[in-house]
Amino acid sequence: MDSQQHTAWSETPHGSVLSGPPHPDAAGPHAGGQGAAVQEALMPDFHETCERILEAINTVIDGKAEAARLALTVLLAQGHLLLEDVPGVGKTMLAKTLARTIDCSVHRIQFTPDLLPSDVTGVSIYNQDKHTFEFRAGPVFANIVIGDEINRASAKTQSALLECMEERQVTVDGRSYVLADPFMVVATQNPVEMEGTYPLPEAQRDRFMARISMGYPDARAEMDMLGTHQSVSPLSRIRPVAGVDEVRAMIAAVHGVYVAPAVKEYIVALGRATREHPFLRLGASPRALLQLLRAAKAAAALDGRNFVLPDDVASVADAVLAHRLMLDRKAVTAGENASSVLASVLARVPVHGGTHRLSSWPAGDG
Amino acid sequence: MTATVERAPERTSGVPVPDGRPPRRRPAPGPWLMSGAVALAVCLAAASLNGVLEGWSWLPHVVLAVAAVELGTAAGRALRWPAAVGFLLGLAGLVASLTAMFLAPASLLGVVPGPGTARLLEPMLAEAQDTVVSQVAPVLVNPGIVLLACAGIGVSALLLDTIAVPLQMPATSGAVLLAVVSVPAVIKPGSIGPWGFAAAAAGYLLVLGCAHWYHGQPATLDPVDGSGSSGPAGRRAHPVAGQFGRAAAVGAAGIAAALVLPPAVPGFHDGLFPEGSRLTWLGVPTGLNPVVSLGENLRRPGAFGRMTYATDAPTGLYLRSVTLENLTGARWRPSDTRGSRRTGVESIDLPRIQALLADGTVTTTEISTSSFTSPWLLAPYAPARIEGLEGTWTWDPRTLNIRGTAGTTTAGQEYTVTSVAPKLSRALLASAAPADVQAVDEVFSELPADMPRIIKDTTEQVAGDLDRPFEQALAIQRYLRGPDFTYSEQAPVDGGYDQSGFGVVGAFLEAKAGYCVHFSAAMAIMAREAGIPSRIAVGYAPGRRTGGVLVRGGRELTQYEVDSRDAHAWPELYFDDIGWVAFEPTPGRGVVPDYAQANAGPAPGQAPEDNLVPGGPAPSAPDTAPEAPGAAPGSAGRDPEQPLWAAALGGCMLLVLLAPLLLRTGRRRRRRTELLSAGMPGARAALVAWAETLDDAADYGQPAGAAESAREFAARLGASGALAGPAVPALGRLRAAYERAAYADPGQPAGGPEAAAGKMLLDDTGQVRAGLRAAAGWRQRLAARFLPRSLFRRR
Repeated sequence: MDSQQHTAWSETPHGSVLSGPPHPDAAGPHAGGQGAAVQEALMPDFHETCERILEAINTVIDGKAEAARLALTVLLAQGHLLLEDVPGVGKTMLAKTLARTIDCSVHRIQFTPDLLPSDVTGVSIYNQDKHTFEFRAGPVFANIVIGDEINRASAKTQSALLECMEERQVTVDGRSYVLADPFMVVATQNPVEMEGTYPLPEAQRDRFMARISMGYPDARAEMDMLGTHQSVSPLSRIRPVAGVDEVRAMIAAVHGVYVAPAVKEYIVALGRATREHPFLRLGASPRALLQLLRAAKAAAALDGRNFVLPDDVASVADAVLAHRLMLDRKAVTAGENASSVLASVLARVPVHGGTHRLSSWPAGDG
Repeated sequence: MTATVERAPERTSGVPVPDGRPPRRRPAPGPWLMSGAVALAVCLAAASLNGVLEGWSWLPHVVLAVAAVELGTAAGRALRWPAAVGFLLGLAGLVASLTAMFLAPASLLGVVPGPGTARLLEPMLAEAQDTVVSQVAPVLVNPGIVLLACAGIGVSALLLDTIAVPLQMPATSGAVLLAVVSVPAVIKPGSIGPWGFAAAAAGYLLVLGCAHWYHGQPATLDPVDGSGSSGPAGRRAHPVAGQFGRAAAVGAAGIAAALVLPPAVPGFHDGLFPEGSRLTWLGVPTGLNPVVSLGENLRRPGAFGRMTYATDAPTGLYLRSVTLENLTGARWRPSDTRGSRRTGVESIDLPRIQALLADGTVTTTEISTSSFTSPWLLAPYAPARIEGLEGTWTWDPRTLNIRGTAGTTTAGQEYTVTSVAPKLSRALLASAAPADVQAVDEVFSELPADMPRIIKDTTEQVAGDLDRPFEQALAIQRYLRGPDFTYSEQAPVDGGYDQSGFGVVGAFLEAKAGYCVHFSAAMAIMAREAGIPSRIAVGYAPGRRTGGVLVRGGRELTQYEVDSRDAHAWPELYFDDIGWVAFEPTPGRGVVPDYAQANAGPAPGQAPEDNLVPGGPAPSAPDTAPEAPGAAPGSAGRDPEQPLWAAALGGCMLLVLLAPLLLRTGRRRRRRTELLSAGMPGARAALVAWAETLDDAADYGQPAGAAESAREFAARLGASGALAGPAVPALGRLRAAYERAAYADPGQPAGGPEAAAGKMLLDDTGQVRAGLRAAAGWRQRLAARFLPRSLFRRR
């Protein structure tokens, strides 16, 4: 069970992390109950920090501000991110940059067909001196785990990682080890048509809060990239701009963002509309709606607000929902894709707001 | 509370086209069900026509016509064609069904009206007109009347459909059902029982429910098309706010219809037989439904439909409109004389009439009919020359009924009648021999086989032992004017014999109470039973002097006025060598001619020979009433209250026209007051201000889509150029305040800028409105002011 030989540590070998060893037991309770008053106090800092992070990412990845913003949104919403695109457009770069800007532990796992589950989670080994089994933590024990080319690994190994993502703990030999907090998996994936891949099943795609397609940069960004990247990797110039505690506080602040009942209703209506859409074989699951809500809260916080607007929901809807929707055959023949169907749903579902509740004031809820 | 989750599109019916094209059209059952509901509702309401159309044989035709209409509109909707096309399809369905049912011989392929249609249609319409004018409801069914009923109901269905579905005003569409139901209700009081009303109401509720459901359905059948937000699907199925506004608008429309329709329908608001007795639902002018309208007019407490005539006769004249001589059918009616009518009323060239011009009594009468509308001309009997008429008129040599053709009616006519009569005296009449029945048309002496026993018996009892016809006639008149009989306009209604037909006369002779129709019919029929040819004349009793005197060619004409209270019927009996002679069997009405006075012997000073007309002369009473100077003859026919009414009507119409403006202004004022009131929660103020801004934007043609968030809406307004200058930041402030009010935690003090004060928000709404106004064209500005769309917006 020698996992090391198959696990490629690109930047930081296992155990040597930027901010000390991972703290499997360090996960404190989510500081979500502090409410908006506390968050209000945090807000100025919050926004500043976010700006710093995004700026730092943008110095490395040219012309992908939107993707960077979404990645940060997912981090603050405590979700996991799936970057999907053809090779060479900067998926891994984005993941690494995001990890670098935050002063936290980062591991990278290069997924290969022969990677084993224990190579991800860790393994118990027998200590002959103490006559006990000792748990040697796997690379999943980090604040940010980069799973490169996740669809090249076998289904079994994929499952191991995905289980960690959902449970936020690892169980080996009957013992559970809690993962780091914050914990975020940034997985990259080549489109499934590429050779030598095991596409993620729908159920596992559902574990990722958001999927981002990087897309090719535009001509100017590419020119810039050719200029800046030729001598030295810009990644090496990146210095952490936020500490892990800071990120934790930010996550707590996001947690305290207020969601009006009208917004929840909007989310539910969106979900139902996808389930009833004639072009969709599978609509958004309840878990998807929960993640949509969390992502919307993070987007609202990133926008400097302590309450969610329907616009926040709409802004993350494509990233959060598109990879979970399964198109009907007739939609495929009609040349539709999940994003276009989702756009039509967004254009149809009524946005409810205070106007509609004028008549029921003050019994209204917002 | 606001969770309006869209209805599921029916997956089963959403079968895509197999060739890979996007499924643009989805055959949903919605349009068909909606049209079915409309058709059912109209048919239910139409069932109440049973009160005015005899039997049920007409119903399948009406149902077919309605079904054809609704098939057309439903097809239009199912194929997602524009509403106008659906309307035209419905119309085409109506025309096709009518052609197939009634005009098939002249059609192409059975459904398209062919070249001979007009020729085929004309007699049917004439037949229908005759039916309406002359028969008493329930009328006997004939193709003409069924054709008109089908057309009327079909058009109603089309109208109802259009109002309820494309115009999305299902509540208003009830007016159409009401119109359908009101036809029998007005024509024949009490003809709609509770069941008729319940059926119409059920139909109405069905339309309401179906329309509610139908409009709540997702209309965006092409799910990829993002433009669906403006369709009904994006709208809220349950209107919450603004219901009052719409209710008021609908109410205003209703009032407008009530005010505008009566003046628009000729003869509805005044005239001789107003408010329904001349309802033009069958598209023909009907003026004198001799029995029922007459009874209705008499029963009406007030007088209306005043008209005047001036005559050189020494006394007032009976003005005759039409005679009923065909008494054997289920309904009394004028004999069908289309074939024998002659033209040229300027000179009625019957030899006898022309002879009387020389040796009879000649009377000149100037008649101004004002608004009285009827195809039959009012004239004193017997007309010899009529001048000054407009339109085409024909006369019947047998009855001297004068009738307009090709739509000519009496409305607004002023004409001069020269009438003649033989010098009539009691002695002359008494000498008349029993009539040679063969000499006159048999229509005047026909009696049905199944005549009620009581008529025979009464005649036998009254006149059985008399042999001279005039004595018999006098005896019958005396009997009817006797103490046993009472004049009552209400008794026939209560007794259920307020119709025409022999059963009615039987019932009248039993109950011994009725009004002129019953008395005159009884006398006419009893006269026939006794062997005297007879007919019933319908028209007006002499009326009253106005006190005016017209001078025409050196002769003085005394002016009289008649109105609805003078509507009358009297019998005319035929005597050999003398001709038709009028009697007056109705007690308390009209004037008994001297020759028919019960107490024989002319009164002193009277010249019985001059009793040319029924309504004996009063020669001892010269017309000395002074005429008010300057009272022009025409002015007598004007209603002095008319200007007042016109002003009131104009005011009301103005009010109706301004109703949307007033409603919108009222709403704005309310919000303004609310915004300026102290102690109002900031969140509430922001919501109110935002609602006002949305309404303003809708007024100026920039309504917010249902799926559009406040942010998108504000961005769109800014980008579209509909706003510029200081209005843009004002809109931004309003939007921010609204978002905070609608979505932020109400339990927390608002972060960031404190919720703006009501005054500031109010100023911002003003700025946005000014900005919208500045960017709008003049048409949009007018529409925003006088027809604000926000009033009709669904929320």
